[in-house]
Amino acid sequence: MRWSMRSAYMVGGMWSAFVACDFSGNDTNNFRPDVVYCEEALSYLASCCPKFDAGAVSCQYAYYSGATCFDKDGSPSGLAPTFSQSESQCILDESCKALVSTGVCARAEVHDAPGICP
Amino acid sequence: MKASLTWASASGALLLAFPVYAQGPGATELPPITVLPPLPISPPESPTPLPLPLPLPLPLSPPPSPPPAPMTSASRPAPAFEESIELRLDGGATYRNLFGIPMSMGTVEMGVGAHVSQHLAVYMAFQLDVGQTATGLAARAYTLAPSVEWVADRFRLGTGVELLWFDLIRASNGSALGQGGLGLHLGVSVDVLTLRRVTAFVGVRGQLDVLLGPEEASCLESVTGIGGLRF
Repeated sequence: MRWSMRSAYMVGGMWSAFVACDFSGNDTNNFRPDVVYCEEALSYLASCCPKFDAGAVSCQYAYYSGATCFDKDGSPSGLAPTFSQSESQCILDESCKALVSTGVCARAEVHDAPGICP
Repeated sequence: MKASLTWASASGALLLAFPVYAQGPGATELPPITVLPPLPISPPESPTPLPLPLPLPLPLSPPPSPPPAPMTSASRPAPAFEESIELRLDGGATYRNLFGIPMSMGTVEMGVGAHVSQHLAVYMAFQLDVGQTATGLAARAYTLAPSVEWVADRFRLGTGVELLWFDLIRASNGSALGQGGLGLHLGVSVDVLTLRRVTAFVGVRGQLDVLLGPEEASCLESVTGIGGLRF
């Protein structure tokens, strides 16, 4: 009985310390419209542009607030999808023929940077 | 009558032929006997058939009973209801929409339930959807859905809640982009054929799920056309 009470206090203390560190500002959930649209655009480019390598482009999202238990004012960092939602939408709105003729495919094949459409 | 006259004529002829005996003894000279040929005697004619008596009125039979009236649903006695366990296996095509991105999926579903009263059935079903978006991103959905169905003859109207897990496979690295959620579904089906204890049905079902993210929720709308069997 005594050990059970001691264990309960220990778990409660650890949980309080974890909450006090405030990691809630971090966001690594990728089920977001910009990520899904980016992946959709990659799939479309892969079907329209023969030399396009979808694996060379990242559609990852992450946000870290930078706050830690010892430094609550740490600088934030993170990742954003290579194609924003509007750029992905631009790619998806074009026909395959237009993607080739306007040079979108050529730019997508050599760059993984945003700004390829149109 | 005609026979009597014939016999009378024959008798008269015989009396004229034998006058001697009629005068008696003592006559002086007898004239030569003239023998008359016998008159033809026609056999008595058969009596004319009497007209048949008028038919007596036959004994009255009870009037024919009117044909039985066709059984109607109102007059037909309701069959006794028996609680039963049911299995359901169905499949179909599902159209889903996530963030405005359309996707088409194939659906299979297996459920077990109980027909608990004349008009009520409860079910627990597992649904698996596999498909892709318009550009070819693979998608999967796993749904666990308890439901209540209102049963009216061949028609069923069902609704319930559901737990869902949705996966979208990334084009960039092939990993799954998944999210869980809660939802509601509403469906209607009609039984089209019943053989023994197996019933074939078709129907349509709508689903509205909310995928719960840490920051924001997103909606997943679905419409499914189904066909299946119920045992």
